[in-house]
Amino acid sequence: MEELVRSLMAKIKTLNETLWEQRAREPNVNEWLDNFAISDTNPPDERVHALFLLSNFMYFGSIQIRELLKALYRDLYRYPIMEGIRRANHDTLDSAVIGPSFEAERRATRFLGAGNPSESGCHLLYYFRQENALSKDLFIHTHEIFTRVGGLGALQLRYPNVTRYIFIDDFCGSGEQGVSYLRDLVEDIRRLKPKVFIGYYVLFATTSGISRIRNETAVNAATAIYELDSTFKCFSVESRYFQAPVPTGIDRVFCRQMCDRYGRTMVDAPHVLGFEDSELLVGFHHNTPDNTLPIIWFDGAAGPPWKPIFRRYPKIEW
Amino acid sequence: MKDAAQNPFNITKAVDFSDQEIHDYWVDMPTGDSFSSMAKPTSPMPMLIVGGKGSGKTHLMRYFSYPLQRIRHGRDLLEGIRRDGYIGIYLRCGGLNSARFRGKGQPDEKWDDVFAYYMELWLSQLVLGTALDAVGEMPEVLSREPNIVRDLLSLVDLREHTSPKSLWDLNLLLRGLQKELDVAVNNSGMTGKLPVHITVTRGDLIFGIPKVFAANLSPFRDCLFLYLLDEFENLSEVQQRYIQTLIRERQNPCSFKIGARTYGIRTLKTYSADEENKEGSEFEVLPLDTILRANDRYQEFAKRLVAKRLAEFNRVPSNVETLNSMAQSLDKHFEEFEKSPFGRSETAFVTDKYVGRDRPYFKTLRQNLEKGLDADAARGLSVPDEIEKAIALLRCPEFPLLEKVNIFIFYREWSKCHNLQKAAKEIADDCRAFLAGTLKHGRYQTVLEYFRADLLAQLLRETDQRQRYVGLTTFVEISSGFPRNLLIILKHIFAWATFNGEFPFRGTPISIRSQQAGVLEASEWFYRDSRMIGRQGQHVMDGINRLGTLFRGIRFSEKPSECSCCTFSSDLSRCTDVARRVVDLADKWSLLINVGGQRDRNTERVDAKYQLNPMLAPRWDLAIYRRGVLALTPEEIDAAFNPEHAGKFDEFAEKRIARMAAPFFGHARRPLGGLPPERTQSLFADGDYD
Repeated sequence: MEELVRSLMAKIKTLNETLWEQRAREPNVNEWLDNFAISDTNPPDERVHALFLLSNFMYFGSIQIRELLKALYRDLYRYPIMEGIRRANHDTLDSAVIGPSFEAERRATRFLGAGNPSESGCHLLYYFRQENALSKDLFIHTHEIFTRVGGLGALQLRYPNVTRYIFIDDFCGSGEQGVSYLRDLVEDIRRLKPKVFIGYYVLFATTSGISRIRNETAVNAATAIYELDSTFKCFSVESRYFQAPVPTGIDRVFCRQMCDRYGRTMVDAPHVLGFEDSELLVGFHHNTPDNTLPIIWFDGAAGPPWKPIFRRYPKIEW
Repeated sequence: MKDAAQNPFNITKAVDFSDQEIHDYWVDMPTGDSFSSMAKPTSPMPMLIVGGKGSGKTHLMRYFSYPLQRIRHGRDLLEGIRRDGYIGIYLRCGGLNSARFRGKGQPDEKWDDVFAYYMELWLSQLVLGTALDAVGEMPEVLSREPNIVRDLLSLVDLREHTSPKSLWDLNLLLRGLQKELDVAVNNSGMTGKLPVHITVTRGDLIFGIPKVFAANLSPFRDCLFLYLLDEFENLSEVQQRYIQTLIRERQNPCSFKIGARTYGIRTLKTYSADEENKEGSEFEVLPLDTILRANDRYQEFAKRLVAKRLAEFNRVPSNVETLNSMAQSLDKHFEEFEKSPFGRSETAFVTDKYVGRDRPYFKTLRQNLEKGLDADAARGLSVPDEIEKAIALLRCPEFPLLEKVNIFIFYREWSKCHNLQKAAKEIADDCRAFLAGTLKHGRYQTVLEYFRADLLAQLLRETDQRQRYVGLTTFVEISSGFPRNLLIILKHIFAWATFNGEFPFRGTPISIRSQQAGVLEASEWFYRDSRMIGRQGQHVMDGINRLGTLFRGIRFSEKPSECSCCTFSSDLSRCTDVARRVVDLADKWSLLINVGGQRDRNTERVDAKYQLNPMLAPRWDLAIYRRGVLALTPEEIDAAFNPEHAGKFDEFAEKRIARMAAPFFGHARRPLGGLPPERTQSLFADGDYD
């Protein structure tokens, strides 16, 4: 067991140096491990299991997020438009045709953050604009989509020439928040301009979450740069973290029970393993989503004392 | 101070440094043994600077290059070059992409000529550009330029090219010719053609430019034009042959320093009537890591190197005095075990851990004695009570290290079929006298002196502790003349210390556990990094693994035959060719270090002697200091290093280690009482204690 702890710690050290932006040094890790029960002489050992989970934590630092924002613009927005332009122009490769047409499309686009301006989706817009060298005019708040005739009259689109609304988000877990935010908004826009293109582009999404957005809203496209399928669900049968060879002494069922037991003291069901029991092990430079196991991010603010390893900042709202 | 999360030891390869950094991080050997005196940059005799990866070849060669001379001398550049007596023209052969110059349906002879021409053009531009950079502004150049250009153009077949009027134009012409050649070479695979018109005779410009400059411009009058060709191992055999030819046909005022890995010199043959260059006649050799290893001030140098890194990292100005004083105080930044008489504090953990229960080595001894008693192989002991009595005599609870000494001597006596009761009493008497200070000489002190490290290592292993590779002096020793290995160890230690929440080199010393984790990680890195590609590489690694396992088996046996066993000797001439080749490759890749010859005690024959690179010691918990030498038979060498004989290795190893294991010590399983005392060699006479 000592050897396993050593190798897990070595892996965590490497992750900390290379990807985790030095956010989890050994004293932080030990402080976090102190949340867990001290092992009696018989395994399984809670702390070793916690360490194992941590060694599989997937963190995206500032550099990675910025790169993903570039990929989002390039792969989900720019390339499909250019593909359309080429198709409409007999598969032309002529940059004199493609360039201006794309520029016209871009001028007729507005980018928006998905969610409340204080939330992370909107927060990322600044970096999205920086990384992709986009003009400020292309970004609007949600309330700027509409205006009223004469100030009080019927609702109408503020920018009638806009042909694309692109909602940018950082994370789509269960899809619940995305659906509740987008459903009415998208319908209102579409009612005023049926042929407008509305896209929901997100950095990370679970397969089920992004499907919900597609199925329960009227967006034209809902796509993620990094899609988390069911293998990312920590304790599912097909969990990628517990595929053979699992280190000796690590047990999936015990691990789930441990997270469930602690999770219950932190949040209510059905969120004890993360929002709607998402069971994820993901964190970002700017925050940790609540879909991640609460043992990772819970900060003891409204519950039992607990030292998080990757703190989640906003308060839980459920 | 830079960002604390940064690591001052992150860059470990000179090739990753800028010229300024090469200058800033330069550290010379302590007085008397300067690198200049070793590398002799003013000597017209060409030199091969050979060494393993990380021995400092590139740093050394770049230090002699013109860009560094420029940094060193600043405004007094020409005067500085005059004082230096040389101007360094540095070229990395790795940058040539030398594999371009072969195959593609073209005959080898054609490639030989094309490569020679390419090198001629490249080196000419380098030397011309360097010289012009140094003297370009001088009025003397303007007045002499037409003559120089005229002299140099007489060496070039201009054909349709316009005759250059200035030296800069000439350099542009050479660059244009090289570009044309590049295009021809790069496209030959697709076009099936290699349209090349060679405009310069081999060596004419390489030797001609310096000669014309020296004849015409006063700053170069007594100046040696030193071609510094680094990463020579990247050239193929025929390409090296061309360079060897240049070395053989060298003309004043030129010379060469060739930097190559130990395995990188593929040929000494030349195109000059197929003659071979001879060491001492055409060139001399500077075996860099061997020289550093043998230098008794290597510790001092290495610590200065570390001090320099830290000074640059913390942006603290340093001169020789401050650097020396920093270097001397570096040890205190590494936590070490407190030294105390009879290892009391180093082994205090044993006393704490085994309160009220038997210490593991006594447990093992009891089991061995019981087996011996059952097999009638423990002379002097006939009933179980006597075992307990003997064990009681060997106890020395306050000093676990002395208990290990007692047990070791006891095993030795046992292996010689001596009476064990009597032996235990004598050992107990010796131990008491030793503690009292009345025993000044004899086997007790000798065992402690020679086997202290091994017995401590055994103690750590038996009590589930990590081996203790700690302290800067230890790390320098592990680096064995490869400064990069030291930097890599420190890089890992620094990273571990930072991860563990420490502030290395700022305040409290780096903890022992950070040092242990770092050195182990560095060792694993070295093991992975030293892997050669291909089947032969696998054979080398397999051989090294077998050797490491054997050394470990011996070190942790009950009665190790050698102290600090990490070196072997053997008559390689009697081994198979394959085994010899694999040993040679392991040496060239620095997995084994050739440490001279060992005189065979029976035949007076001098056998080859190799030490397992101390960077690998932590992998097998071995000693880093070389003491005892294990004399391996040619058959054992074959079993270790020849894959076709590998099946016999386990048997050989078991047989060898069985001689050091209780209760039979290699004897057939019959009563030891019936055997004459074993004819063992003296415990220490078979070692090499340098």
